Amino acid sequence: MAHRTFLAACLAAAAVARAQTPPAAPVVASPKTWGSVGGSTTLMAHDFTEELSGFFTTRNLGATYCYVTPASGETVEVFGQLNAPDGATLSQLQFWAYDVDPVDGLNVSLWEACQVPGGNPVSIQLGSVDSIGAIGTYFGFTPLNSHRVMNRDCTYTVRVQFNPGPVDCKGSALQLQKVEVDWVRDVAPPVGQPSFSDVPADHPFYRYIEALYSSAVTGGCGDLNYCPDAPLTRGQMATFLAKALGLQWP
Amino acid sequence: MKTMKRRDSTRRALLAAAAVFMAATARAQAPPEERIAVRDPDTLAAMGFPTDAKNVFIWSGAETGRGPRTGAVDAPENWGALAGSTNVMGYRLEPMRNVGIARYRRSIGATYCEAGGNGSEGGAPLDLPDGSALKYLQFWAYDTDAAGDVTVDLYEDCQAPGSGGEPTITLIAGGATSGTGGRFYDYRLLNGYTVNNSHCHYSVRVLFGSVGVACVGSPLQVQKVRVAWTRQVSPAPGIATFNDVPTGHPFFQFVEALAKSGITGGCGGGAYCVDQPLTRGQMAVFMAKGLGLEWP
Repeated sequence: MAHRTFLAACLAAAAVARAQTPPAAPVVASPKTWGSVGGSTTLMAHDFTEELSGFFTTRNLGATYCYVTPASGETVEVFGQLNAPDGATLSQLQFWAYDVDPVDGLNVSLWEACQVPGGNPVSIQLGSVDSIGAIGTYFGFTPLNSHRVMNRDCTYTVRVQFNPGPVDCKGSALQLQKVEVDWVRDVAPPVGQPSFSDVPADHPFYRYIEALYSSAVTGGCGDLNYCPDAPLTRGQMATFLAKALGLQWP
Repeated sequence: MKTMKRRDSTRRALLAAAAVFMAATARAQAPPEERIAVRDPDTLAAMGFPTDAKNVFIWSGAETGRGPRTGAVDAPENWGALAGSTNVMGYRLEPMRNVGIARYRRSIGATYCEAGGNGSEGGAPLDLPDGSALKYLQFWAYDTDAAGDVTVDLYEDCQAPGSGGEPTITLIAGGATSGTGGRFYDYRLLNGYTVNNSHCHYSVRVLFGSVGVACVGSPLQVQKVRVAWTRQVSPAPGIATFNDVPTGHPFFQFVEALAKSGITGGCGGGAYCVDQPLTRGQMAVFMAKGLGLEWP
């Protein structure tokens, strides 16, 4: 017989980080992460906007490349906004490119810009990788060290620079194809005092029950208790699941 | 005064007509009386629409008030899939008028006009979860010139399939940096405006200066726009699916939501067995189906 505690743990543990490794096999495989626990956000070449709109790059379904020669001292750079779930941890950035010239290259970097209401944006670089020296189709990746996504105050931007430095990048010899960032959801660590008197801070399911309470999925079973060891009926479970998943718009 | 009153009665008649129209098309969550048709040519022109547009509405539910918390950059606000926020960076704005003349200069932190006469209107799509309730709109901008403003608006554009009619455009909320010098931040409470992705699309629209006013230079910048939302359990249907979970049952809304999502088909014989204990095995099925789990 399942317990309320167990359901809470399962709902929350479903979001616990799962280690991801860069795909080594050069074949298109089945999906890596099904469901909402883990996933990846892909930016196609045409998702990127230019520093100066409608001027520097040309696009097709599969790639973006420089259209004009930039002025001396200018670098062609494009920006793509990365949307990842709030509270998730970022595991790695991968990019696909095409580069026939061992001299020129692409630089792909991920930036976090944090800005509280009324404040200045403060940007930090979370990772950077480039293709300088590559010939032909190029794949690269950089770990992101489980950096935490904070969508309330921060935004995430993939910046791609063609030919870092003032070098001619005109033509299709240097192409950006796509960028992918992998992430996994996480369960929030509990903060403050325990919300339920029967689930103290040293309870093995404390973190998960607090997460359900903070998300308003449960209000407990009355009298400031959660009843972690009480059996669960199918009806109660329906309420937990429907609230947690925001089901179902007809 | 008489003219004013006549205008008011005309406005009321238009409101009533709009209410009838919206009652037929809008969802219950967006009360029709809060959607006000815009008919005044000057207002329409200032909003950037044709002066004879008949499909533009303003939603009156948005308010200023107690906004999201301020202070230092802090931990994530919403973990998990239940609630969250959608950000639109300034560089995602694309020129919407006189493309080829209008150009924006962009950086990671801001966007401003590089060139453009009437090309000062920009737009970007906003992806919001279907059925979620919108909490608030926030925007960050920069404005050194008291004469010109940057206006940031959140629009809904609804069009039913096969209707052949014009889209219904609603200004959900927005604001301008009127007379501000320096950094500008503002917000609007969205009071649970319900997202309808089946028939509607959501956009951030920005006007640098006013319609028809040149906007060259960096005194007017847009930095970012953020919309916070929370998912909702859909309203209960009128007819019960299971004979042991009638419409008056305290779990009716939630059991129906699971059935509608295909997570449960009941326990046979037209029943859900609402009071039956759940086994760990059954719960595994519910969880895996509900979350779409999990390829190794």
